Amino acid sequence: MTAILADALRAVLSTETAIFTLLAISLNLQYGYAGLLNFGQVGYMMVGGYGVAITVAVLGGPFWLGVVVALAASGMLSLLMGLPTLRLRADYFAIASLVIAEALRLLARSRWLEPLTGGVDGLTRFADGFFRGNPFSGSYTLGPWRFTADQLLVLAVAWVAVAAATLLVWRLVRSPWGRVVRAIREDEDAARAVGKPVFLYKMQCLVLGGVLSSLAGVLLAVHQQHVDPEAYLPVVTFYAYTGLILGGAGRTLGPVVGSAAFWLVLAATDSVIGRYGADAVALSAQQLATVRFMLVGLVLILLLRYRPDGVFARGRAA
Amino acid sequence: MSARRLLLAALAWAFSLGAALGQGAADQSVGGILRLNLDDGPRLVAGVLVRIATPDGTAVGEARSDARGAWSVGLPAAGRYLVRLDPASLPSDLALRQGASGTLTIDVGSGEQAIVLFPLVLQGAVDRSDGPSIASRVLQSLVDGLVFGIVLAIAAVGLSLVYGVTGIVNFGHGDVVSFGALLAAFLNAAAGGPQADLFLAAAGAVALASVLGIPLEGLFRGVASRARDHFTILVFSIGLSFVLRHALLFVAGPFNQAYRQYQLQELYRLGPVVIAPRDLAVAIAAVLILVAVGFLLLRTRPGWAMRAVATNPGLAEQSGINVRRVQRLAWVLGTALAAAGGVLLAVSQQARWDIGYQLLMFMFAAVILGGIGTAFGALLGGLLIGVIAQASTLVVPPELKPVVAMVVLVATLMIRPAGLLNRARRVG
Repeated sequence: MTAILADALRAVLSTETAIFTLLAISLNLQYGYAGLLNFGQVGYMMVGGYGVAITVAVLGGPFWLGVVVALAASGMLSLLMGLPTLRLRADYFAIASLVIAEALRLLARSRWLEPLTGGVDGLTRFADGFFRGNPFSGSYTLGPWRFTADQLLVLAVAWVAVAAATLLVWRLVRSPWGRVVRAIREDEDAARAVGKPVFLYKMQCLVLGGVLSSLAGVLLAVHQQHVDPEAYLPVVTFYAYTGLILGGAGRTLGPVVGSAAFWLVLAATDSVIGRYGADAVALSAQQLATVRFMLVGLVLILLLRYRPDGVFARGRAA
Repeated sequence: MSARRLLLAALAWAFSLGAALGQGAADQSVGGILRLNLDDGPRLVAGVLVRIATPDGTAVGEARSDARGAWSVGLPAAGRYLVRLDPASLPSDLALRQGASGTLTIDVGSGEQAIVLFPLVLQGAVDRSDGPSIASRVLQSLVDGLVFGIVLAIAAVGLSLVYGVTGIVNFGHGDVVSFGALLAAFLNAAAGGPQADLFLAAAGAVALASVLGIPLEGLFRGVASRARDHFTILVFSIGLSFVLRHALLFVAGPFNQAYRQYQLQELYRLGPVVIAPRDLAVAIAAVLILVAVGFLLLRTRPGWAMRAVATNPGLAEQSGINVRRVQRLAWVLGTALAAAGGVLLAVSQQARWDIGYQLLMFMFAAVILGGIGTAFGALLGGLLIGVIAQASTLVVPPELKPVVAMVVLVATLMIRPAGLLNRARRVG
């Protein structure tokens, strides 16, 4: 029992959870506050990861330039997704974002772009610049967990980024800017009628959320020291949505609490199955993974059906 | 027996060999079929020498491919082996594909019948001097594109119909496509299934899948009644697609499932283009289905009711139309069309758990190009996207077809977001 608890806790505090939380925060800004149904969130992560990887590993640039490229690329992606769709009904943006993100992934794995993206194998060896000047050294033991200095650095940076992003979104949505954004979600025509440039506000949300997701992508790439197209399946976006809706969209701490709860449950289930044997359920590893995906989807649709404002919602969110 | 007939017989034998290899006796072996696909069908390569050795170089055995291109060598034990194709024994007009290695390493498990394939090409095929001319390649891609496009159109009409009548973009539509395809595979070819004739299996799959429309309608109505806004419904739809897709993966496994009939056929040749009879049959069936749908929408009362609800639900309700019933009908018809599209697609591509999800990008492009919510727009969009995507393979690698669909989608939204057949109006 304690072992399962330790597994689950470890998962909740892990770098992956921090990265997903960052993704959920960015989604919260777009979906929770501005009503932008971004089904291609993972595309931003991908341009983030590949932006760094290509700049450093293929073109031989320094790491900081890679981050700049990653952020610039996410801005371009926002233009690609937003310019054609943000003046239209919400459905169009949802469709376009899903299709564009998936198309980008296919491009990344195509033989055409292989010299640049490494094709199916992806790219490695681009993160050295990040770890240079690591203030940690040696390895650290924290309770039952051990970290190398490099792991600890990514972990710390990721959680600091989560804290900063939470603070940023908290400040933003309470500003006059945030009030306009929320007004647009509630009634776009009304916001337009009082003279607010709706398109501009939506685009700003898209770019800002995109930058956050792109940073999450950079962190994931650095953490794994590897990028490949299969890491950016649409599943990632669904996970972020599930976490966000679990915690409550349109609340500052919603994505943080939701992601933590999501990974806690997921890791606990995995741990139970791992410890008490997959034999007990007579399923192959591949089937287990499938069941896991099914359950995540089920959680998402049950939440939307019965608790659309999140499990922790008291009445309706503001 | 004509040469072509012989070829077909050989191919059939090769398939049965594949099946036999799959089931397998107790001892392990390695084997394969040496063949290459030419424009006028496969060519089987006989008399090629293949040598098997252990990694340290000890020879284990060798075999020559027979008239059907097949070769097989029994192995003494499980383990790692080197399989070497003797290039000197290849016919003079053939070569290994550039960059492909003539020696492959393979790990064979105990009792496994491992299969090794060597990629062969015509010598000097790169200069395309004896390949088909540009004009005939364009024509051929036009024909292929129309066949794909008309199947795509069926599924896209279903998507557009549901959207038009209920206002919901069903992101799970693609998974209903897969559901139909797999259901037909179960009815037609599964070991424990009824082994029905393909035509019956297809009809049964469409009928069974259409029933799915009723709970889907109920589910979405339930969510819509509770949801704070339209966004929630869309996220619900994508969550549902996720559940459905992985349920299909769980039940059907990650394999391709072929239908029993129409696997091997001679190609019809019409001037410079060739078409497989099964593709012709698919195209004819698709046209019939589309004509039936058009008739339903234009000439029958339920069709009028659907179009009325799509145009103005409030007014339709006022004039005595039972909107709820019409919406349920749209869901049933939409899922039936998705399933039909899935079966037809799987006749040429084989059924798979994500076949419909792969199609989703094309469906979205088709629906938006034609004008979302218009059934005839989806039809036109489907045909256009089919042809454009297929024609694009003349220039870009085929795996990038969805990217081409994406480009068309974005371009449509930039230039004429209402689509070709919708009246140009604000859609924001």
